[in-house]
Amino acid sequence: MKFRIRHGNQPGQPEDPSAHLVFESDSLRIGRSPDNELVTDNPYAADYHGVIRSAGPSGGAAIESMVLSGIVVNGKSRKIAPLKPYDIVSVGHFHLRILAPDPEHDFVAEIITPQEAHEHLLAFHQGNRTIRWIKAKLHQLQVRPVAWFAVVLTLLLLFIIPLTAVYVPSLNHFLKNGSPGMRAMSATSWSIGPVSRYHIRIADECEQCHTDGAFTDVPDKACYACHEDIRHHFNLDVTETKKNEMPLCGDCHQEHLADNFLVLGDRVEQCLQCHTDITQVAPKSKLQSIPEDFSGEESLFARKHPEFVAAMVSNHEEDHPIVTRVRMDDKEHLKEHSGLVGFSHKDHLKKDGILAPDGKGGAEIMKLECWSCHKPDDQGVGMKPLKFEDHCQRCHQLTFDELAPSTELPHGKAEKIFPFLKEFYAGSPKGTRIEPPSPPDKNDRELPGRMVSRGGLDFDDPDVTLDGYTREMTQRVFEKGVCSECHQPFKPSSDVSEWRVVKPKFTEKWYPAAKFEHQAHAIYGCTGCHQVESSESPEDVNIPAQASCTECHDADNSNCLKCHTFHKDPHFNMKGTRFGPKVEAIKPWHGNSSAGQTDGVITPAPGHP
Amino acid sequence: MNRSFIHQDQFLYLKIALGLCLVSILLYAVDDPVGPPSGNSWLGYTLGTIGALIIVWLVWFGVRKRQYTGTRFSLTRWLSAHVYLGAALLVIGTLHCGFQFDNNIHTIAYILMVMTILSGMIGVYYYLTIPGLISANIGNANAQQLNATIDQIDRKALEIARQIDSFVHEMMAYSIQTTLNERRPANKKVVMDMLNFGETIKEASKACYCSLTKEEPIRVEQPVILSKKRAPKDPQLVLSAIIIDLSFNRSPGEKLQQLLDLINEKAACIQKLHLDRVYNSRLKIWLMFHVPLSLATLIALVIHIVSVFYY
Repeated sequence: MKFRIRHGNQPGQPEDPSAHLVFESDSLRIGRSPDNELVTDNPYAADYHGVIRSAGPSGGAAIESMVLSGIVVNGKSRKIAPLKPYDIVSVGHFHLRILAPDPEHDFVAEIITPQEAHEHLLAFHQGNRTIRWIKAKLHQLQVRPVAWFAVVLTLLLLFIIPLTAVYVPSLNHFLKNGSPGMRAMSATSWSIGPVSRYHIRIADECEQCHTDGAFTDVPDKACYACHEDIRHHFNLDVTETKKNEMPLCGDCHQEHLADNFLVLGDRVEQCLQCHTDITQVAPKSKLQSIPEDFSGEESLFARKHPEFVAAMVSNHEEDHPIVTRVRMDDKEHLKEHSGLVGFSHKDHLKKDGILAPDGKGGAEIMKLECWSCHKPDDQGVGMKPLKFEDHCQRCHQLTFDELAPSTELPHGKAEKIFPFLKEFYAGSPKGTRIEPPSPPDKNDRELPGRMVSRGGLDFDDPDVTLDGYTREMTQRVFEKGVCSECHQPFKPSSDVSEWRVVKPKFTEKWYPAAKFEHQAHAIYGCTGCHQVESSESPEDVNIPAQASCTECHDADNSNCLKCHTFHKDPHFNMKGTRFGPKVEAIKPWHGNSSAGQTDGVITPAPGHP
Repeated sequence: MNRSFIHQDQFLYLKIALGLCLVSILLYAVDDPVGPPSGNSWLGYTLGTIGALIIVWLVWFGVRKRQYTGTRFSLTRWLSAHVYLGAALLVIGTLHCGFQFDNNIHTIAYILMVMTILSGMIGVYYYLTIPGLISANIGNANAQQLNATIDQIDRKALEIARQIDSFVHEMMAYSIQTTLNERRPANKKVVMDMLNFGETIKEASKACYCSLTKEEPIRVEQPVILSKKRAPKDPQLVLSAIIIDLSFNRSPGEKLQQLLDLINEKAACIQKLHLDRVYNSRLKIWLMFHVPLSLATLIALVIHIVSVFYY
């Protein structure tokens, strides 16, 4: 075999031809003894440490250990090992690196330094090479590059990628639909808190609300994009409210706080910002101001909240009721003028009951309860309207002529009374009883419903016409008869056929700005709040005042929105007045109120301070 | 500075940190924020601002410790405050976020902060214990001196082993070869192998002594090293050769004793070197976590603040 051993060459320097050991021999021995081909004074070497010779017919070379502990090839102790290019043979600090044979030599190697051997050996050590390399690199690792790596990685994952996702929807979509780790890099990962369940469907679409870009509040117009019909708090024009004083949507509706939280309902302070002195923002508002120290002390709600103001039917102009706001403690003006007369809760709710008209001769005692007439509506919020036919007529029959005790007048349309009577008397013999007399009542009870007598009228007088007779009876029915028992009759002209009654108009919503559910308060019973046992007049207002509510509701467990609504003004939607074109003509509100301009604005009754 | 930073100025910074925590807890308890507690309330912003300032100041410690000029606020004081205020940040940061956690960058920033604080606590433990252990291990020496000592021992041992017997030299060379490359980095197994090799020689010398004095030979247990991968292929043969050679008294006993002494000395040095590397590695690995985590927390904090005000 022809051997060529390079030695003394410096890395990176031109190769020195003289630094080659070339010889031809059957083998190449390594050891301390001078008769070896490669002699080393390395104290780790034995006299004859190993020998390199031909590997046989297959070609190449192999090394054989001449010591029992073996010779180290690529860091491993071997008895015999085939040698291939880039193998490292080590004897103590002496290292031989095998190179590829050239055309002139069968075996080429170079003597390398321990440092070079160490670097080369890293690749040959047992175990995964990559892991060994990583281990070696980790061992050499310094803190500073690791710290820089952490900084760059943090910037990339928490800033660059999410920020890019904000402006690249496809990337954001990809990240959002990925693993939790990828979602943490999406644009929504910058969300400062959970989106409320009301907006959960657009929780991942930041741009739906944040339309004006970075570092700006969510504009109201973003809200109106979906909530286009949301109503104003009150009529801006009536109150001359300064529009720039109006809060933004986001001032009351705060997102990203909790999944079940959107409205600052428990913030009395939020309402007090304006209502401490409402005239500052709405100069013409007649709302009562709320004391500044409304909240914060026990039962301040009871002591500081202004007395409730009822919106009640206060008077009639012809058949047009006037709704007036009156404080509940203003007893002088707190009288309902519904157009009804003679009604008494006290009489109807006698503990011993009242005589019922049933049986005709078998009159019975009937005990009325509140619910006998007042039925809750289907929602359990208010009460169904009362109807004469359902709630009154059973006792208060509309009989009108003592000679026709079972015939009743029609109800509901006063203008139909005269034609009815004319038709009725046209078919009856003059001066005669129309119906046979009723059998006498067992208890000789007078039923409700005043019938009129025909006294003074003579049907046999040829001068008395049917029209004249009917007019006289009409006059009697309205003035003294059954109509006047409950109603206020009036005659707008001298024509008797024009007799009318003031159309009853009951107050349907006493506190239109308040929310109340009867069902939620059912356990207290009707009379727990409505003091009707002693009410003798239909003018009595039996609606509970503030004191009744504050027995249970104080500042600790109540807030403004517990009773009050906010977006309630029926005239405007917010979009129309703030951002959209100005509404040209405000549609008149065809409600029941005339004097009370709109909800939330007090128009006091005459004489009210 | 070893332990002094713990009780610096009569635990002044511990008291400050505890006070800060108590005030924060108290405010958190009495605060009635809009909605659930979160960073989006006046208390949340207040605690967040305090926490952010503390984080920036804590990270500045890395700059301060490289300024070797003395100031009124000594490095020991700075470190003491660094430790205690860092721990207080755990309370302040948690109250700042109002225990609201989600899959977002704010929670990631919080996690990074907590990891940094926890790693800092481990660091405190290390710096309280490891310097003492290092001193007790190598005294005033250092790793470079130990390596030089081991090299000297190796050369002496090889020379003596050559004078004793070629087999002993061969075994000694093998063991040195094994430890040579492995000395950097430290490898506990190599140390154990060396100790076992020393035991092997001891056992062999005892057998030798018994054979020379015609006493009952002591049974030589197969040492661990000979069952390992790196051991010669036929360890029994090697051992037998040593025993036979020694039995025929071809090597002087004095040399053998010198060799054994050198082996023991080397084993002790390697053990010290190994422990020194373990202790220093712990500190380095700790720094490798704490410093990058600290900087990552600082960056995450900036991103957290930017993102909060971004929308």
